[in-house]
Amino acid sequence: MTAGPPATVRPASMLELMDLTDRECVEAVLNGDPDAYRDLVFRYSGTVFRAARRITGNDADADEVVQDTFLRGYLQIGKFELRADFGTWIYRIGVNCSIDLLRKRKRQPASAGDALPQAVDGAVGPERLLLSAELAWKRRSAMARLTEVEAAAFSLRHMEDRTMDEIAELLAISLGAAKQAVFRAVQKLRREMAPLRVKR
Amino acid sequence: MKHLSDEELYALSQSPAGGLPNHLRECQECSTRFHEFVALLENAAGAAGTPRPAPDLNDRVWAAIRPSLPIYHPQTQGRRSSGVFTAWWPRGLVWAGALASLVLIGTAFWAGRLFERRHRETNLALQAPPSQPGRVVLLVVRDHLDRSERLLVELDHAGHFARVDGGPLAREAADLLEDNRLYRQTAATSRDPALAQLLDRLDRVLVEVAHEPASLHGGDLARMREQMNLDGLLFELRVMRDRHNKNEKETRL
Repeated sequence: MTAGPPATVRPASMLELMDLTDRECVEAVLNGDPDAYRDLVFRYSGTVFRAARRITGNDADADEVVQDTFLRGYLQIGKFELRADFGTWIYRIGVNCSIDLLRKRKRQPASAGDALPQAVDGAVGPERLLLSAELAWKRRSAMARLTEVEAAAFSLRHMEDRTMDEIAELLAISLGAAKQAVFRAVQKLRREMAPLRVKR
Repeated sequence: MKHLSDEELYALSQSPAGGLPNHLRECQECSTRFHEFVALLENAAGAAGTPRPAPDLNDRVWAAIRPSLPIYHPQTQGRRSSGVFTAWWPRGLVWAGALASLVLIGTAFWAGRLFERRHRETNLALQAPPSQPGRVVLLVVRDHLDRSERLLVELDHAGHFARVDGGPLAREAADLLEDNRLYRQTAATSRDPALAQLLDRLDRVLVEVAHEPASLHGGDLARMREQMNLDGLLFELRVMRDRHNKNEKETRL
């Protein structure tokens, strides 16, 4: 691999980012200017982060997904069709990277910190705080029991508000399989979280 | 009363705007299950909120990946690069690699042909017909033919006498007979039909002589010589011996 020069921090003014279209950035990259990719990173890292955060459930993993996504996107940029929308393309890679990370996490033993409930809001009373923390922990725990595709399908449907057609396309599965994945995830989460709802 | 299925309740929880069926107002069980779905989806949406990336996310991501980005080489033709692999390999290098592969394949093919030819020659040499047998074999067969010739000459001469002591001739014939059978079988399996045929005829004569009575009349020997065509056998034996002498000289050279 011909590694480029060390990272240079360019001033990122919005005016500068608006100079080149996505297509022009891609063409510049393919013509030997890796720095043109920076504009694409700045434009779409937020979108990828939000999807990754919802699928993986935490900021650290989402950060990792964003880096993997843009690196993978650069290495595969030769396959990108210039007529297509770069945002959609990189978003799809982000979803796949999120699924890959969930798979990797499942193979690793859970750390002690993962099992502890964490407070989510300090402005409410102690009982409410405790219940909220317990609910968040239970939800994370229930999400962790889903398969990677179920977790991604559920997140895309009920957190990212994607249609079933979009989910099927993003996950490269049939429409029926996408619907089944979402419904299985809902059923599993409902069973896992039912005891908490009774307490409330 | 027929309750609503989970699939139906889940579908209703996603699109309540279409109106809820009366059954949900009447059936406590279905209503409870329906609200479980609604609560779950609300909880999921609320928990997700709108994640806010850290303000320095862009810079961190770019700083992390920039050193790992290879440089794509501009395409001189209209065709775009199909990936990083081709970007790393200049077109001239690709052609050189293809040419080197062709040369390598051609060399391997030629070497294979050469090896096969040499290997076949070796096999042919190993499977050479017994017309050119080894030196030791030639010496042994020639010795056997010499002894057989002497026996036939003695038989030929003995026919001129009124009575002959057949004891020494019979013993010599019996002695030659055992070797003759071995050589005949060897010649037959070694694809030397001329030698095998000669030794076969010699075998019949040797059997006859080996079983003759100790005292022979001259008339008996004359009859045997005529029946067995000893003169013809003797001639063939000499021709074969000469051939083996010649082969032996060639082998020695």
